[in-house]
Amino acid sequence: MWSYLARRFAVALATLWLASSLVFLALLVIPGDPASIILGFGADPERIAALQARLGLDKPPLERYLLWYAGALQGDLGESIRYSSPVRTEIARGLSVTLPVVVFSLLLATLISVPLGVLAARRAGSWLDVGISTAALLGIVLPSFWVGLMFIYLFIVRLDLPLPTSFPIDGWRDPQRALLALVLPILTVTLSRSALLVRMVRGSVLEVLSQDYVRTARAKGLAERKVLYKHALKNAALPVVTVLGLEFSQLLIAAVIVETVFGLPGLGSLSLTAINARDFPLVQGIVVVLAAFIVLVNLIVDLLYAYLDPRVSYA
Amino acid sequence: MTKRWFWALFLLLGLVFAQNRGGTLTVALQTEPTVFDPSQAAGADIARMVYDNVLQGLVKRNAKGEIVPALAERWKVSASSLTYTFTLRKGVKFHDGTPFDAADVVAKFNRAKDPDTKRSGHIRPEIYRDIASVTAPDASTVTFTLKQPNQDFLFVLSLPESTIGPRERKLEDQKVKPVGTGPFRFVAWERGVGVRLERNEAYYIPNLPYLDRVNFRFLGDGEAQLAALRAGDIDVIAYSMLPENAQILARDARFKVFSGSGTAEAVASMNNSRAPFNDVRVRRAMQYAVNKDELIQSAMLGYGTKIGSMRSPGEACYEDLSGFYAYDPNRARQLLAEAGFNAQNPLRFTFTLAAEFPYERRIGEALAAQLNRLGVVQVNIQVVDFGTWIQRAFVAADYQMTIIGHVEANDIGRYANPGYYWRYNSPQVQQLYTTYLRSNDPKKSCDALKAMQRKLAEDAVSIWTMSLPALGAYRANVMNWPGASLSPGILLAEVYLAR
Repeated sequence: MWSYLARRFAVALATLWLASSLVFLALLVIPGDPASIILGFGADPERIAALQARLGLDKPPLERYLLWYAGALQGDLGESIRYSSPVRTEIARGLSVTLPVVVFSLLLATLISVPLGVLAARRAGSWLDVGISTAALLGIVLPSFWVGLMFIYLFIVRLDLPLPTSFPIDGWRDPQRALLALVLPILTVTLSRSALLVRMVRGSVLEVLSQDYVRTARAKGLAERKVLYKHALKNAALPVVTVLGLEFSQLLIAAVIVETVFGLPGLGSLSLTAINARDFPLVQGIVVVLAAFIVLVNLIVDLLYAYLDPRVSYA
Repeated sequence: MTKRWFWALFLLLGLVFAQNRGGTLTVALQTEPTVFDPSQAAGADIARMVYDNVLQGLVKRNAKGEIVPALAERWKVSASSLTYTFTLRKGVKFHDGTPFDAADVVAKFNRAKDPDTKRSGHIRPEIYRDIASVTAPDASTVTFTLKQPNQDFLFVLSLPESTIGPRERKLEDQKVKPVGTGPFRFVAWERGVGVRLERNEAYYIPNLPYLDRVNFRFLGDGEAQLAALRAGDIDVIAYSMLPENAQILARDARFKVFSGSGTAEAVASMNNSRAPFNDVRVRRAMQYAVNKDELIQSAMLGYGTKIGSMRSPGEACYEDLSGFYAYDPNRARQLLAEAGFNAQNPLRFTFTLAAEFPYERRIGEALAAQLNRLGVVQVNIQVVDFGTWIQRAFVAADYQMTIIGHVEANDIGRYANPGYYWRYNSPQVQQLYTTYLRSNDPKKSCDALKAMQRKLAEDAVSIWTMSLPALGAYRANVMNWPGASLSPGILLAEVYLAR
């Protein structure tokens, strides 16, 4: 177990290094640089060079790369060019908005979709199944920016619920408003994610129910409830856990659409802003944090596998 | 008797002031600036927030675009137009408590005219090039000596980059939290969310401002802005409102929609130094092929003003050239045929659009559709992000056709700069601009500027598609909203909330 974890840790470090290096390279290759973007319509070659010098961007790329690593190894992710503030502060701000949205909506989505998916699988082919599956399909195809706007219109404009349409300017220093501002984004993400998960759970349970061991369990006279909850569900959970893990990492960035609609300063919007500004320290920082999350979540998923499926062992 | 009337009026006014004082106003803006000191970066958004609200200069431009006193009470210009003497307001304090005096002005303009931008961190030193010296005979007098007369000198002093901060203030601090003398203090920049201003209790004009607090909220998405306004989370959509949302809000009595011509021209630029647009026949063909009325109707639902050169109707010395090229597709095809393009050999070029600008993007797409309709033109639309656009199209002039809004007032002089991304090199225009700038006679100066507008239209340098509308909306209880203003800033000092 410990040697397995050590190996995983080494792989994780290599992943982080590779991801950040690739991103650094990509930012060098794509057109545009922070100085000319800051100068905007005031940009000309001479002034760009002057601002680059002021921002320390005139150093050769290799030197900047090594300097960044020297800092990162000591836990200093540098300073954002676009925001003139520490990268760490900006990422923490982004995560403080995005993490609650992602965690709560995945939690809610699981709570909604597992019972519905199991129900649909048990009554496969019935009107109930058709109803649930169709609703799920609808939830998948409806774009979340549209759903978000409809939620705003329905809950805030029509029903006049005391929910803000955007994150308060004081952020978490205004905790009540900040929390309320996350309600509709969480609902929006929950809707699209549970739609996906319902179909996953249904398919997975259906497949397990056709397995030999389920037939055996039924043949030896076990009650259907026991067959389902003791034998089938635990096995059906494997692919669902994998998808949940993937969804989590993906949503950290992919929530950007919902963040735009609801004016949330989350990690998705931050990464978009960082890339648009060619703010390489900020982009690098986000990529490292994101890669770290992905590695961590994958590790948790793998460990869950061992728990769920006795055939998997990391000893 | 008059005295009694005066006192009655005074008391009445006082009552009105007392009633309308206070409250928080939240204003939605489309983009978040990188810095908040206009001397350190260009960008219309910086000025919208801080100009005259936080940072002030010697003079300012009011909503009508007139140059009026700000930190200077009055000024005198010598007969030679070479010496400007400003008398400063006394007793003015910066938001950090330091007193404002002539030394701050001298420090500011010595920094502004420093050609070494790496040292000064100041953009556009070239516009201050004519300043030979700036001195302070005493603490409330400043004298500028110019190397040659400059018709635009007061205009230059009214620019956002000419605003003045405390001389001891570090640029790095001023950049993220500007300190000035305006009616509002800059309190905080919440990255990714917004900016907060609060009333400057020590403002030198008594009773102003009315509002306690102003929040600028960055909401990039037009639909999100509309939702926030209807839900009551914001009070104002300040600019770049989507025309279809304007129509929705215009039907709702709770809101007021404002629109008008500002100083922004949507310029479809053609690279005059490169094929195919180095041929004046091709450029003229483009002018005849564009139906500007239809463009305004279809892309902007009627919001927008037809123009024919690089100037908006509200600006001084405006020459109406909107009918210079009447829509005439046959004429366009004929000119293109002369240049060697026809149905067998159509004119093909790339039209670069910057993704971040909603107005320009839709105008560009509609324009491309009109050109394609000729049957002898094939437009290849390429959408890039602003970072790519600024480096490729703007700095390196590596483009054929592109479109962007030029927001700054009085920016026609850019056509006299052959290195600008239009790559238009006309000695005649350069001469006319020099005449405009250097002449001591306002009439002669104005005539030169009009002739310059005409010459630009004749040479068909760019397609001036329209003067973009200053389009926004506010809740009906917001009073004195400046609306379609010709000032670079959203002037907030006299805005109040009706009770």
